[in-house]
Amino acid sequence: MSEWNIDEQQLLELNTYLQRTDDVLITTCLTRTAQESKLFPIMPYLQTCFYDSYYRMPDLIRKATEHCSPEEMGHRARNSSLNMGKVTSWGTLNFYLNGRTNLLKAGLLRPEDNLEDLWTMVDWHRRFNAAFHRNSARHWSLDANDISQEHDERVLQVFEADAFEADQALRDAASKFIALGTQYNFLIHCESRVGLQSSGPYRLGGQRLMHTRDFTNMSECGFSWMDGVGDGVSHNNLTLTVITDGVNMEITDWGTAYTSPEDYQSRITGVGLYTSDFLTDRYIPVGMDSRQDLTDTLNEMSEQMKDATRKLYKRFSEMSMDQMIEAGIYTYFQCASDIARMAGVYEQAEWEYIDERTARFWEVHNEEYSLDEYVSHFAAMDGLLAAQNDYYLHPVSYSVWRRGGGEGDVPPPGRNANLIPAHILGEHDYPRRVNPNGLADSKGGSRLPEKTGKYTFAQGKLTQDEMNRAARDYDSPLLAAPWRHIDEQHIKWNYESEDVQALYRYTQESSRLLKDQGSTIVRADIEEIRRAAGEKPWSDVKLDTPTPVEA
Amino acid sequence: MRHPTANPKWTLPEGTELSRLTREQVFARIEENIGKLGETKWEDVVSDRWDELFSAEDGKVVATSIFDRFTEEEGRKFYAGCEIAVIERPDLYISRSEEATILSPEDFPDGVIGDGDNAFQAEDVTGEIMIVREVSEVDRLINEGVPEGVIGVIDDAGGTMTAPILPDFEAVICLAGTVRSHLAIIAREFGVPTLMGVRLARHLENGEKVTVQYSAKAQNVEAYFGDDLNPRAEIRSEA
Repeated sequence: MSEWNIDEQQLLELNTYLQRTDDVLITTCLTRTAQESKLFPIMPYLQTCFYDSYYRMPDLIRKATEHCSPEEMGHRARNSSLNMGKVTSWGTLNFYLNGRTNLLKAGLLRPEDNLEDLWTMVDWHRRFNAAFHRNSARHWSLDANDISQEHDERVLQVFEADAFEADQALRDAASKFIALGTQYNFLIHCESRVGLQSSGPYRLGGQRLMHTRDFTNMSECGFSWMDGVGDGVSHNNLTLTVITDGVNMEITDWGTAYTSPEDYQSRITGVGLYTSDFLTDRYIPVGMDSRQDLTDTLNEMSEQMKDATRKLYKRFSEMSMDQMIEAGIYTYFQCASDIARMAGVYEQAEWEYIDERTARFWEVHNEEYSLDEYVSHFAAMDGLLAAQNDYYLHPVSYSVWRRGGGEGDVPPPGRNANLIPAHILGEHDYPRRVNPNGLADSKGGSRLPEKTGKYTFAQGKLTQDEMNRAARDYDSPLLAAPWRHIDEQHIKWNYESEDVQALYRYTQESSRLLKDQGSTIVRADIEEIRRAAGEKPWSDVKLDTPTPVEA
Repeated sequence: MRHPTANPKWTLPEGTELSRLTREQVFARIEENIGKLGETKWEDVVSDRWDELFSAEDGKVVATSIFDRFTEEEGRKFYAGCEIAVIERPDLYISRSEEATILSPEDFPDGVIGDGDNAFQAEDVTGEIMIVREVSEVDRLINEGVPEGVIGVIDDAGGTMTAPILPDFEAVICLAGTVRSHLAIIAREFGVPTLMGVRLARHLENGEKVTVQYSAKAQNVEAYFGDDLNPRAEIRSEA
């Protein structure tokens, strides 16, 4: 039995974090107004997944963090594109918190119940994101007005130098790849965005911006429905680097890139392609031998995804409604599965069942009620247990009301953050964990076929045991001193030091233009290096018909 | 032991009748179960004795009761967004899209039969309407191909229902969602002109010819935070 107690400092920090998390949630949800799909029972799977996250995620995180700290996971997610990143770390915490909200609103929980679990979840999220976002030092994209800069200069320099100038064929191939990849990824993830991430934008001078698009879980992976479907797709994780000119861009906390103008494809001026996963510590170039090679590779990948999309569509269309709900739950739940995989303790059986405490709500969460509750929790903030005191103004809904002209009554005092009452500091009369005996307290079943396929990595396809062994054997100099602690503030003053030079050379090892250039180079050097290689520096690349950027 | 969260000082009404009914039924069941627990503390039962507070059987009984009360009060079954719910449980569901609100023709200028938010600025498109609402229809189009020049009409704003055939449409009219919905995101990437959140003065018919004003300015995403909306793009009948 856990003897953990919260102290006043922790309680105040926790409540502050809960409120900020909720403000980001409400803001993001307000711009995402339709949550239904003709194909997938989205709302039932989304609402029921929240319960499963509440009942199981804290123990799964405890198990993984015994072997791999949140900080190490954050560093690894920054060095490579993993499935665990911006939107999935957001989901790992928020799905748990939404389960807590559901149970509170059902009258089956007080805010202080299972408080150690809540602390575990918030602590993991805070520490992971502090390491992941070490350079920008902002946990949320919203805090940077929807700018989302994670990558280190040493990585960005390689992306900038190695991208190929886009001719029309490459531009078309990249546009087609993004479109098909986005669509295929939505389908893999049962209509959700959790397999898509973006980073940036990063400034390249003039009106040039660079951003990255990550497509994850594209081949055989942790989802049983990808067995025999994704095996024709040659890479599981792909990162496309995209350079644009005259395009305004924002990237939200859900990892989605929105551009202005919306049809930005004709303004793509440079493209690169990489793969990575939690067993690589760097980005590995894909099809980067020449512009033609990259064009051919993107077109080939597009054909692979097109074929897989049709196969996967057929597979989903043959599922029952309950199976589709389960698939959706697993999709959301497995947002966090890289945590266990990085730690080398992944067991598929722990991530693919429905807890019996969740199953009891199965029929209550019909399609219509699930949607009503989505709107209630994440937009309207209404209902018996959402009321705050009579004087309360919610900053998000009040801001929307004001910007909309301030007509009618000021919004009602609804609030969704469910803060911890301070009186518990006296008696500590709350249960610590939802599972006093750990994961052994969680039981359940599944209607979906068991996963039989392997897991796809840059190094090849691995069984579960092989994957766990490789994860436990994983070692990277990027995670050890001195390199682990070389951040931008250090580089700013020590860029000529041996250690910094070696770190940059390690990152540049497979770069086509920056190999062995080291850490003293700046943008002007990259321009010269490209020129010397017979390629235009980005400042010389001009669009045929430049158009002013709209506000 | 009393139910610790049943009687808060401050309250707000539930957003819908279904939410109200569900909360009342679930709370009543919990109250009843608490009464059977005798002398105990909440913190000792909330996790360890969860099934005594609300069991799987309670879930089934409550769900049935909610449906009965709902149909009695509202005079209809539950709305479903996905097709499979209506196919598997016609006793429980009707399709939300079948019940889509149609506005009065007087709400639109002369000759205009609908309008929507433009996902991105393109050129106007004149084409024949093809309504795609069922997975079997998508299957057929995968095999036979989408005829050239058709404007697909899609009920939901998701990106998966029409995934294998979306790029084959000349343009799309979506009867739900916003310019930030999945369908809008994918349509922009494919360069398929798309109107989102379309309102209609009458139901569209398969094969009828319309012109859609995809040249209208794309909808301002900041409008969701209260900024001014750009004018909605119009759909005109060519009959």
